[in-house]
Amino acid sequence: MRTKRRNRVIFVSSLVASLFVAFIFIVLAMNENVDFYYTPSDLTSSKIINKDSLRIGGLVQEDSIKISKDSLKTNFLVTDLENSIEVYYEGILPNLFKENSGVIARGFYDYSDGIFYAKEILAKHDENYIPKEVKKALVNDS
Amino acid sequence: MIPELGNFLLIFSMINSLLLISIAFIYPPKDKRFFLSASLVTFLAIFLSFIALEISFLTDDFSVLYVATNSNPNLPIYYKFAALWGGHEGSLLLFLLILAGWILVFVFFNEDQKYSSAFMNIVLFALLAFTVFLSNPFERLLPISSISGSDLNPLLQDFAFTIHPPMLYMGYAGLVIPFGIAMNFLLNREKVKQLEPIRSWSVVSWSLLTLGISLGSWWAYYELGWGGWWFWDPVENSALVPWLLCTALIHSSIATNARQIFINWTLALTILSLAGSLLGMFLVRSGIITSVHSFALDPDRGIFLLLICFVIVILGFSLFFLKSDSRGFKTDMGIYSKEFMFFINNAFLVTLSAIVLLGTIYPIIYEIFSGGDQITVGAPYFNMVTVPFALILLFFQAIGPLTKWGGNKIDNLNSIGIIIISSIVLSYLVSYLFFSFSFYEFVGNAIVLMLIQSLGFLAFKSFHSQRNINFSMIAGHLGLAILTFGITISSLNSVEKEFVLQKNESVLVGSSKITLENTQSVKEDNYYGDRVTFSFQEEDRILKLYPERRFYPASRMETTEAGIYPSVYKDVYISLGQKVGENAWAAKVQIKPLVRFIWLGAIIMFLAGLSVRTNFKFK
Repeated sequence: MRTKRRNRVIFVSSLVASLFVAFIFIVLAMNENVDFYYTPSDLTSSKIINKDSLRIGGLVQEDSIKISKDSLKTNFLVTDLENSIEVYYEGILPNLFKENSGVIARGFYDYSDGIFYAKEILAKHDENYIPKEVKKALVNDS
Repeated sequence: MIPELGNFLLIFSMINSLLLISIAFIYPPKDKRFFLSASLVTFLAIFLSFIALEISFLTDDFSVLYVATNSNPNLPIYYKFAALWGGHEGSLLLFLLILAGWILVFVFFNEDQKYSSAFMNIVLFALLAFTVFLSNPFERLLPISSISGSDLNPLLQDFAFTIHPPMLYMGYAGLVIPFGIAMNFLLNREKVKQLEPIRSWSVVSWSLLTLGISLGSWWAYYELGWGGWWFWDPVENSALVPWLLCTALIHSSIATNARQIFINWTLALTILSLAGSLLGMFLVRSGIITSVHSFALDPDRGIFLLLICFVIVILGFSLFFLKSDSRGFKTDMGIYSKEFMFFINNAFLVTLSAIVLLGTIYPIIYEIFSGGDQITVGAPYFNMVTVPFALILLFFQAIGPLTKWGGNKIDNLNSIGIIIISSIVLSYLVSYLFFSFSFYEFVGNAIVLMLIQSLGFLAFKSFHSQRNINFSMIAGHLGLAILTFGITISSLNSVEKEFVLQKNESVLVGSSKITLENTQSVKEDNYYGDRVTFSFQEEDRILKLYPERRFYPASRMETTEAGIYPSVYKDVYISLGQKVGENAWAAKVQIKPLVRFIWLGAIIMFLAGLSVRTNFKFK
């Protein structure tokens, strides 16, 4: 009987301990790897957002894409039809990246030069598709 | 005419399924023939309705809204056939067909399961009603506005895609059978033996889920053109969660069958894994989470799927709490026993699935509670949280099979010690000699070596003592070891580089030289585009790769076809980016060692699952 009770204590305490460890893990990982989403208007407003990693979404503004001829550097403007932000990206652009279509950029915003340095550009694989965030920004503006 | 007939048959099968449920609960028939014939009629009606929709697809009947939005006259006939499950409504119909098929197979093979098929039919009925009333694939588009149709999403015009959804759905739908068996046990409890079939059925589901998920991952690898095989995309996660729960269910039910322990836990897991697969369906269909799998996005319809999911979970758990009875169950176990190993297995698998689920739905929860602020949870979260848990789980996977039921001391202590020590030493050497040494590399390889040694030891021992070798278990666990090895090596040793090349220009990646040789245009019935030829020179071997960039006019979509040179040791993978200037292209090359091991392992797991000795009885 005593072993039975001892085993039960071991069970319960190991369960509690592992749940606790799991919880700590999740909270830490969440803190580091959650990206907040903003619109160009959020960033150009007076409130300063200092985050290493965030997402902006909107439409690629017409006639704003400048692709370098000999490197992977690209500049373009992302707009929510009210404000726009210059985005700099070095890398391969997704297939559906084009003017007047939805785009999400992940990176950081440099307030000193007003450029959003993107680490990743997402454009979704469906031409009817507008990212939920973009749709919301567009609806809010209209 | 044919679409109306299909619609009628669908409604008929819904009524039939409702009849079966009512009769089963009000006047439970003594004879199994009732269930058999009722299930057969339901299945046939859905099957014919499926055929009706297929006919509409094959004859380009664009007066049917669903056909008009998912097919195109220029589509090759094979893809016209598969386009049926290219969108929301049709894939739901395929799911219903498979679900009705499973129920029929179950009723045919299993006996003495009074309420099981009725409970399975509750799930079927709910989804049938959802299809008929809220996402009917036979809806007409009148007057006909489009004579050419839209198109099947070009990314889905691909062989792996055509078989990926049916396999996955067979796995998902199969989880309804353990649920039915468990519910019947709660209402109509006679003996624990009633729960025995859960194991075989969950193994069947698990095999098909494994195959479906790995096909999806393979498809994403070569079709999306990003070179990854797992993106922690919400849709991938919502298939992974039921897979993890199903894995837990298999182990728990093995323990239940062998020792009559974890009975209530097995019952709860059947509900949880069905809930996991229905929740997965909701997440995919509702469009509540943004993902590459962009199905028709209509949150209102999604809510009904969520509702169905809740109703079934509430039904399941209320029966569970009202009727489950732990009196007379054995509960004690020593920490050196096999029972305890199964406990650890289940605790970790369920924790893992909870972690994945949390990361997947956290953005929704956050948005609700923060008043509209939006966030995304990135892949680093999932990697950071799941990898350590998975590694610990794999460690116990190596030890578990060497323990004994009811053991109260460490069995095979010497062997376990030798296995652990030799694995650590070997892994240190291997990681140091062949790969760039890193902590995860070392740990990953050590655990893979432990697993393989432990399985080898087990096989040797059963062979030596003339006992039956548990072939399926050894093969299944070996498949996981191979998969883990592939993941460890390919994630930690891949090389990638993005560049812009003019014609005849070269770039060095590691010690290999990549040259852009020429470009040409390609044209097929359903697309046109550019094909670029790259040569890849490594020592004195030259490989040619032909990545493409395609444009599908019917859906006005551009896609990238990666140029892949596959081999056992490593894949060379080139995807085209944007065209810069007249003859220059942006491109990305990736060299991925042992990436094929990931799918090799998954296929072994699938086959091992199928080879499990079933206890279906023919009668």
